Amino acid sequence: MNKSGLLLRLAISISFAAVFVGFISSQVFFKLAYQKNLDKTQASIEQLYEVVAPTANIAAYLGDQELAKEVINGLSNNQAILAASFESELFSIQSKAFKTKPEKQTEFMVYSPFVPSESLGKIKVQHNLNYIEEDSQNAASFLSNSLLIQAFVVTAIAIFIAFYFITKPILIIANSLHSLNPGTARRLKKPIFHDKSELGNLVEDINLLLEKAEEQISQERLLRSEIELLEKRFRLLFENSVAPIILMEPRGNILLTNKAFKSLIERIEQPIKKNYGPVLSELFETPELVTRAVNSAFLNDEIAIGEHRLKFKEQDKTIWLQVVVSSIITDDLKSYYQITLNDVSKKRDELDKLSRRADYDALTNMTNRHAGEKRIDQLIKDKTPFVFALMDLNGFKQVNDIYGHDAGDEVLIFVANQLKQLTPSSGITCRWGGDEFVVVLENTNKADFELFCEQLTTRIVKPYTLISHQANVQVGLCIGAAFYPHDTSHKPELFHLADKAMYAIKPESKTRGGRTLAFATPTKTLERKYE
Amino acid sequence: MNTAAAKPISIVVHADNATDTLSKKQLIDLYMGRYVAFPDNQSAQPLDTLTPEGLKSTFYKRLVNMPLSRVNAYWSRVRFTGRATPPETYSDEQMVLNFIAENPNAIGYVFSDALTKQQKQKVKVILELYE
Repeated sequence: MNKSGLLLRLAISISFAAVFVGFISSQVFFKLAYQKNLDKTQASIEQLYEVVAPTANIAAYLGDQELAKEVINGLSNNQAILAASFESELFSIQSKAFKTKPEKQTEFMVYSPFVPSESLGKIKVQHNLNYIEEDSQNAASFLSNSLLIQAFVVTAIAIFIAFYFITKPILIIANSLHSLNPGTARRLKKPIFHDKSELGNLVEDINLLLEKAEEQISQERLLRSEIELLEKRFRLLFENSVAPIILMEPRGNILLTNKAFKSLIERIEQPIKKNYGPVLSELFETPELVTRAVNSAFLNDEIAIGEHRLKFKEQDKTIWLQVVVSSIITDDLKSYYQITLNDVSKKRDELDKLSRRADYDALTNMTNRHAGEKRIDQLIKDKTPFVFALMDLNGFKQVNDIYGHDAGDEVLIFVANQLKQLTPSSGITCRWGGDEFVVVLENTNKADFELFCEQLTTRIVKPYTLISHQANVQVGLCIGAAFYPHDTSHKPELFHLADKAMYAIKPESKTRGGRTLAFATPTKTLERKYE
Repeated sequence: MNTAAAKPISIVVHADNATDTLSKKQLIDLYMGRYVAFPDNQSAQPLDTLTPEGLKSTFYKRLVNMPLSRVNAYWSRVRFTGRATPPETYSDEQMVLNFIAENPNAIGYVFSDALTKQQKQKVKVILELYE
């Protein structure tokens, strides 16, 4: 049986209450009965004495011991009387059990039968308290016994009623409730005889609750499955995104990242951290630029979009990232940054290549004429003095004709390399077209330039071994130079003067030991023509 | 003429008796069997009389304030133990007086008016009981 079960508790409570009430009432009853018995005994002793009083008076009057004994015996025979004594002038008699210090005794004066005022002695009657107590006890114990029996019977009946009308139905309800899962269509049955009782109402209420729970749970299940599906899709979207996505607090604490971000960090061989500074600025080459750009965009309530170069390279490859930062403010007014990174390195590379193609000669990897002219424009704009030298190869056509275009290209690359090596970094080297090259040197004079051309010629005219044909070839050089702004400050004329000078020296340059450099000589007619 | 109940009663003893007066209590003690002697230790023999009518009952009425029935009841109880005996009973006053005149120990009672001068020489009144 369950130790804290209703029945046991009920039984224990009722039993305790019954025993307690029985105990108290028997105590009270004993006290009352004892007092009553004492009073009754007192009265009966007084009554008894009245009966024996005349005889006692006579005995005392006459000093008749026999008569006195009779009186004492008569008194002592009573159950309520323990002992008695008779003292008079002439004799003193007491019964056997007479105590010198009695618990309770009553004294009666003995008077002369003829002169009522004349006292002749006294009779002491000692009460039998044991008898009184026993008598009272018997009465009390009878009461308490009957109370105990009553308590037992009442307890048994109470338990029976409690079991059949309360505990058993509750147990049945509890058991079926225990085995019942909320959200299912199962309901509780009302216990028999409890259609209209409190237990019946309880079952009705529980069923109502189950009804609501089922409804709610099914709704929640539906909602949850929807959310799960949505979450799965979002996760798919997030995790499989090629672009790294980061959710962070404005201070830079990273809350959420996807796989792409982790792999980016691994690619640039950086440790995975919880914080890379505000908007990941520590990862970029120009952190201040990144944060400033983001802040200014946010100030204008815009999404921050910018392209920034990472501070760290992936195997010496620069990585450019498009950084998209949007600020998210949640319902509870918390601010988050969502950062999406797009790798734009490839695009950047292509752009670079495009700009290279526009400005460079693909074969010699040298500035092409277009770019060269642009740079010359810049020099003219800045009014920087320079020398413009146009050079043309001698014998290149023959190499092309004999060994083919590959050999020609090889020669062009060779010449270009020599030119690039000799030219100081401030100078401009440029493939002007075909086998024509241009060198521009700033702030130089004729003597220095002559020295430069001499060195260049020496390098170029030496025999060159074709890698493709294992053959030695030799090309010559012829240079026409014009000074800006000394010769002319007009670009087309500068080109023309150099060209004219070059063609003027061309025949001589083809001869062994002949000059290869000629300076422009300005003519008035030409000046006029080009003005 | 006075009725019996109103007449004084004289308690008489032998003229030679040493006792001259007796208290009512002493008289009760003699008549109710408590003492069998006069105060001077001379033994006493109390006497009752049947006549005249009303004497005995009046006597006991005046002595112990009891009707005769109770006095008899007393004696019937006392006689049982043998501790005391009731007074000897004579049929009339004159016999009582005669007996007293001849016995110095005797004591009896008569209506006071029944005593003649002649008789008064032989007996003496030691107490009178009035209504």
